[in-house]
Amino acid sequence: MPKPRRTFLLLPALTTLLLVLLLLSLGSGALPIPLKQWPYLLHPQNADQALWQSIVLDVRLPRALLAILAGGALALCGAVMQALFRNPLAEPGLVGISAGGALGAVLAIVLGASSAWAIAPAAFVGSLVATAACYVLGRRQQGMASLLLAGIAINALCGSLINLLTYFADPSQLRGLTFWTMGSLGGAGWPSVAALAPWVIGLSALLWREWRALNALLLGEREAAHLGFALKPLRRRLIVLVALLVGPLVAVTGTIGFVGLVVPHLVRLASGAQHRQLLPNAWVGGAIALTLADWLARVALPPAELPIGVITSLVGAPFFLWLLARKAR
Amino acid sequence: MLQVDQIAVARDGRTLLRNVSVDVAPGQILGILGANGAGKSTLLATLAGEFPAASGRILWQSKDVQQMSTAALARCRAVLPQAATLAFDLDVREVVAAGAYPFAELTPAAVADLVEQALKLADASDYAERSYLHLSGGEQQRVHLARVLVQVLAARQADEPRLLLLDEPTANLDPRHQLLLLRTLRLLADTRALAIVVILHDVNLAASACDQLLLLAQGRVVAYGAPRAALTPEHLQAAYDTSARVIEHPDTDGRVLVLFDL
Repeated sequence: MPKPRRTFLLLPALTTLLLVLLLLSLGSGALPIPLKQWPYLLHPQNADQALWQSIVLDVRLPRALLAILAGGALALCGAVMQALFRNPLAEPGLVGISAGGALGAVLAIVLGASSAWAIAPAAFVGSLVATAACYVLGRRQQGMASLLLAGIAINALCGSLINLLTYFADPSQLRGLTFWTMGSLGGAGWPSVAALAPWVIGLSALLWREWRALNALLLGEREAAHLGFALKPLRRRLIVLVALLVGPLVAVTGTIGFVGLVVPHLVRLASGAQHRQLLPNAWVGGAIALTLADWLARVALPPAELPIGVITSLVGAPFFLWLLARKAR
Repeated sequence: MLQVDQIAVARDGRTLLRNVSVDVAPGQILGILGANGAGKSTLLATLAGEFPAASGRILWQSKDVQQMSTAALARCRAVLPQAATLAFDLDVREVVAAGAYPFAELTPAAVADLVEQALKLADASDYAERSYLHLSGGEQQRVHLARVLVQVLAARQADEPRLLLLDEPTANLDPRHQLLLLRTLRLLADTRALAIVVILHDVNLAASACDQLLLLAQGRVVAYGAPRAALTPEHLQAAYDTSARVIEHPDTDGRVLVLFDL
């Protein structure tokens, strides 16, 4: 049956939704900001309004922007990995980026590091080392299967090392460890957002330029080669781009699961698998998902804040199951 | 033209092809025949530049195929695979438009124009609006045919030759579409300066559509030449290990008809 898809409307619609959610997220939290006070945020007239201004500009805005950058990058990279591996279960963490990052951070914490300036670089190095290990171990055979298996092995290794280190950590370190393994946007600040924004946007644009190669990969590895995309350099380029894009984000936010896996599927249901549209739609979709998750993390049990990685899985998984069941019917 | 000079192919220590030499000029169709495992697909993949020959040379327009980059090859030859699956669903037109990917300089309008032409040539226009994974096997096959047609027709100078390699393109097709496909190939060879190499299983279809036939058995050439010369009972016995009779075609002068005896 012919189904005319108005796919060109999806990106503006998603972007509008993202902006609405951004405002909602900025206005709510442990200290909600009444709607009619919004106009005064730019020019505070009294002490309350000055406090609100400081909360929105100094705390919530960088955090919301980090949610957008991280969600966008994770979902984009998820879509790329699913095409590269031709596998609906693929996600950015598959080649060890998240697990390696968490291992690097946990190692730094257990060795005595306590400031983000020491832990984040350790996490970044960890994610790059784990990804490089996957790539080197997985390139010996043709095809993607060996890279997939290497990724699973490296992930298992990182996971068990994290468990081992957690077992030996003292109670004061444990709290820092859970921050990494469950993910958090609490480390957001203007310096990190200002550094990450051009990086994330630039690398996302480079990945978007690969839409032809990704479409060709959907046809198969041989077919992609017949269409002029040599598999080995393409695979290397995509994995390097994904590692460089997600690595620094993992270093700041810890492991945030499920966004990179689920969002590309949701967007595909709406706009199809054509990567020229899928990639930007997935980016905005991921930004929406993480903005929403961050909002839930802050308003669910105030004043406590839930780890965002827990929210993404807790809400994302049942939602995804519901969608699959609905589609099957 | 395509010149294959004494190539041998070995993989994992096993020799899959030895001493194969063929020439295919633009406007010509070469049919490859042989039993399962005779090396037909290996030969086609080697011609496509997918893996190197252990010895011998493959020249396309006097250039060594094995020295050409993947991107350069994609601009002068297209390959229709035996079976292609899609990891995620695309619309038919999106699959067909992939044939234009090696030609990033084309405008979207030029690509859309090529896609419509190719869909018509492959008789796939009827389901151009649908999504690929909802099509039958034969319909999917014709979508891929349209895709490779876009690739060989795109961004050409007038009379610039291109190479089209097809691995069992008739496998999933009904008799009408088998004939239609070979008629399309004939038309393209004659009018668009295509050199075509096609693997077929139907000996009589091959005899009627191809200018030259190559019979392979266990990686060796059994016969190479015009259909009449290539299709003899002795050659067919060597290629298929089955006795066959070759008779004059009742309707067409100069054509032969092969009858396999069970």
